[in-house]
Formats: sequence, structure tokens, C-alpha cells
Amino acid sequence: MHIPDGLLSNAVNLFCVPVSAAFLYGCNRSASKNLDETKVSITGAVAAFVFAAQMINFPIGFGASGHFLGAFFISLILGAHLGFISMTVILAIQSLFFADGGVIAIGANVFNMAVIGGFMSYYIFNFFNKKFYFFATRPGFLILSTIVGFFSVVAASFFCGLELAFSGIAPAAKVIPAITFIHLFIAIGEAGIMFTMLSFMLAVKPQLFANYIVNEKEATKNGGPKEVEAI
Amino acid sequence: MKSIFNNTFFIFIVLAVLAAFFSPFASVNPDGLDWTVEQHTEAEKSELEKADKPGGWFIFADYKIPFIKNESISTIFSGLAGLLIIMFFFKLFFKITKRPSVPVISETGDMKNSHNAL
Repeated sequence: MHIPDGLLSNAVNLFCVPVSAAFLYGCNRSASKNLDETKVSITGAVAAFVFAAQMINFPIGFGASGHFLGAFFISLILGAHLGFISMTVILAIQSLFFADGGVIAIGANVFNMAVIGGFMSYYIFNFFNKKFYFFATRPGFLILSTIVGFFSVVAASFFCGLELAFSGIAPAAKVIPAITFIHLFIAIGEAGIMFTMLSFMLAVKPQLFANYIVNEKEATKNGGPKEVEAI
Repeated sequence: MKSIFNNTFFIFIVLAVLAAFFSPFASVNPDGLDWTVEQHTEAEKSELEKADKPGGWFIFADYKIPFIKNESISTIFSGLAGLLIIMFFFKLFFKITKRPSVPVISETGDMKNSHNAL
């Protein structure tokens, strides 16, 4: 979904760049307040993982391919603000060093993938996670994050289609359904990777998700066997 | 807590390096966006090709290192370079945004008066 330079009109770029910059400014202010060295190392490692995972395109039929987006995954692990910054850094490095996504179109790419795919998806997840008890249990958490992971890709592609339509690439009635349709299949891949990764992380490092899972909190509080194993 | 975070660090680094080594197996089909522009827009192919063709100043354009002939090895090493760039960036980011972690406390231990004490 990395939009190259030359596809979007100047008006769309002029809209997306300040919006993304404002998000970056806000997230940077709040995230930099409680950073320590280990947290920064972890952020770098998770961002590096998402970057590497994005290199692996999987075939989805129709002669097309897709790759892991990871914006929502990174927000789950690091929180919405630090997750947003990480995603922006990944996109910036991809566009500056790897020519993947345009340098001028970075505003639109950050908007689609980091703001919609990461930031907004995280708060939708957070709403359901806090509101319904089931989604705060281990299986509920897995189901909810898989669904939101699926949704994050489709939502990001919808906005991508909107930008293409506003740029006059093709009529909105044609390009938005097309791009959303093909991303439904990519989103299935995303959901599968989300489910696998989160199951794995829950098995080896349940502490990472203690904020989202009620039982995990209780288990740690009561000094259950999990905590003993962790130490 | 420190050991937990250190473990997490290694898990993700190992996964990232593994992913980089698997990257040569990636599908070469156009991605979702390219597919849409190719299939569902009016003959904008030249536009997309022009947009997709990177200029000379991108070091690892198309996830390849120019002087490595073997395509798979070239992709793997460009991926590993990307990992290092990202890790390095966050170290730098931390150095720039770091604030003093220990607040200035006056001799009486009163933080409010610490500015007056100085």
C-alpha cells in the first residue's frame, strides 16, 4: 500500500502532510516523556521486525500479492503513541533508502498506514477491550485483535482509494471498491499473521499484554505459577 | 522487569533476522495498490512505471544492494541493513529526546524549592 510519488495530486499531498505531521508531533511529545533505554531498544527491535516482515509479499490470487502491515501489531505491543512513531520511522526509512513509497507521498502513506492502520485501529481495539469483559480475557483478546488487525488493513486501503480518487487517478466508484476488495484478501493474511504472532507472544511473554487481559493481571497479582516461570 | 524487556528484545531481533532471510521467497506479483492502479484505472501504466522507477540516489532501491549480483543475497543484505538503520535511528531518537531522569532536589529534599536553591 506504499503510494509512490507521482500518483497523488498536490492537493491530496498538501492535506496529508500536515495532518500526519501533527500526529507525529503529538505522539512524540507524549511518548518521549516516559522513555528509558530498554524501552527504546525494544521499540527498535519491534520496528525492525515489522520492517523485515513487510518485505515478505505473499500471493493472494488475482495475480496480486500483499504483505504484513503490522501497524496495529506494533501499537498493541508498544502503545498507540510509540507505535505511531515506529510506523512513521519504518515508512520514512522505506521511502528514503529503499524507494518503497514516495518521499513526497510520505504524508499520505503515514496517514493511511500509521494514523488509520495503527493509531485509529488501536483506539477501536481499546474501546472494545475496555467495554466488554469477554474481550479482556485471553481468547477474547486474541479474537478481538485478529478482527481489528483485519479491519486495520481494509480501512487503510479504503483511505488509500479515497486519496487516489481525489487525485483523479480513476473515478471513486471504481477505484475504492477495487482497492478495498483486493485488500480484503491481504487482510486475511494480516489477520493470520496477527493471530500466530500474538498466540506465540502470549505463550512466551504474557506480561507484554497484561494491560489488555484481566486474568493476566490477576495472575501476576496473586503470584501464580506464571510469574514464577517468568522470573 | 529489565530481564523481561531484554528477552522481548531478543525475540524480536531473532524474528526480524529470520524474516530478512525469508525475504527472497517473497511473491513478485504487484501489491494491492499496484494491482488496483494497473487493472482499474484508465491506462495510467506509464505513470505508474515512471513513479515506480526510483532515481539514482536511493541506496537500496527495490530492496537490492547494487554491487551484489546474486539477487537473493542482495535482498537479504539490504533487509539486514534496513534493520540496522532502524535500530540505529531509535538509539539516536532516544539521545535527542532524552530528558534528565533525576530531578534536581534541594538539600532539604523539597522539590518545589529546588529552583530557588539554585
